[in-house]
Amino acid sequence: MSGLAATVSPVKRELRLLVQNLTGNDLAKVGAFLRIGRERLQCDWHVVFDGEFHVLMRGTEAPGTTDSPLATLCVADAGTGRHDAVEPLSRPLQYEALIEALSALEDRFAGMSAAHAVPGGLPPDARFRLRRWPPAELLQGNRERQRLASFLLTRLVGLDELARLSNVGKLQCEELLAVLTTTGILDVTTAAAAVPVASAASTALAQPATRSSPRAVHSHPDTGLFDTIRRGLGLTWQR
Amino acid sequence: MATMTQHKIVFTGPPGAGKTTAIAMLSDIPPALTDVRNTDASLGKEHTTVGLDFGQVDLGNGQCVRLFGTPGQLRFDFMWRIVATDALGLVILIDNTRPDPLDDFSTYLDAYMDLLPTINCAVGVGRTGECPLPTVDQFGGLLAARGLAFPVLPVDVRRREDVLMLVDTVLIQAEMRT
Repeated sequence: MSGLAATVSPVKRELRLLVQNLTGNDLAKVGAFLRIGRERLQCDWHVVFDGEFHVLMRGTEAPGTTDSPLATLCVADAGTGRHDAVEPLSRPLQYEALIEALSALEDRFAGMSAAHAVPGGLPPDARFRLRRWPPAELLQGNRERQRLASFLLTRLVGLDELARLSNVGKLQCEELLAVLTTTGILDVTTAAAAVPVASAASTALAQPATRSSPRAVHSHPDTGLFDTIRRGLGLTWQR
Repeated sequence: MATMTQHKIVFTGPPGAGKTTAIAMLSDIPPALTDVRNTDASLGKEHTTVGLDFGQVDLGNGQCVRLFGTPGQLRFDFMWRIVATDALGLVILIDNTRPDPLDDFSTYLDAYMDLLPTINCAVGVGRTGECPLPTVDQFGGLLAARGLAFPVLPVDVRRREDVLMLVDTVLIQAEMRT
């Protein structure tokens, strides 16, 4: 039996679809189409109105909305044109268009998962570190992803710690880590192994977090200082 | 008298990369500029910095962040490292419309070579809209080839949030090393 077959689960993967600024008619249709299209979809889609999500589905009348780092479906009145960086759906919402869009996203997520360097997903005790700055295509100009990548550059960090330090949802952290494992630039180290299990090459940058870093020689400010500086600058990411 | 705790963030990069503008975006005092009328036609701008640009962000409780901008021209390179010594972070700004932005970048990597392994650093590539090449990935690749890993972001230094993002990535690195 192949390693890949061993990781296949009979349970459908759950994906969360965050809806924002949709009309009542849109929402009713999305709910109905998901019920009808359940058999055609590989994943179990759940509509949510807040919290963590995989895909954002929003109306075009949502100024200031932060699009999903992974995928955004934008619902627009027919003829209002395409919007950059999002996948458009026209009103009135059509069953085929929605199911095809979701299927395409499922394929994208499946591609990410299949390419995981660690079979079966990310080990619970895994810690991660980037060996280089990721390609722009993966970061998609998304501020959350850029911040997460910055946290991953300096030392090994676990999923929980990454989410806590960055104040970014665990789900988003996990998705980015999953994507990064496909690139070959992410070292993955488990506590048990204490050696990189997904590293193409060891580099001087890849040192265990427990080892004191020579990069700390210039400044040893306490962590509260950084929140103070962020407040002083008006950065809104502070914890 | 209470002593003020100072933290230093340095903006460096070639002439025209936007160091003065970036500091002006963040400083809560009018930045002290040392711009003079430019006599070097190759720089393509009316004024250029010949000393240090300086701005400051007051954090309260006797703390502040001092923002320094180095003069871009190569003849001032003796100042670059002096200014960056003991800095909390270094931001390298690149102007992608210059003739050879990757060569500019290499010049600054060489200049800071001995500091880079130990300093918190971010790279901002400007005017990528006008000149998409080289890509930010190429700048990241150049860093990787030297065994370095820093954030490389496309920026418009006239947008405060872009400059803040660069500084934030520097702070993140500093935070992760504590």
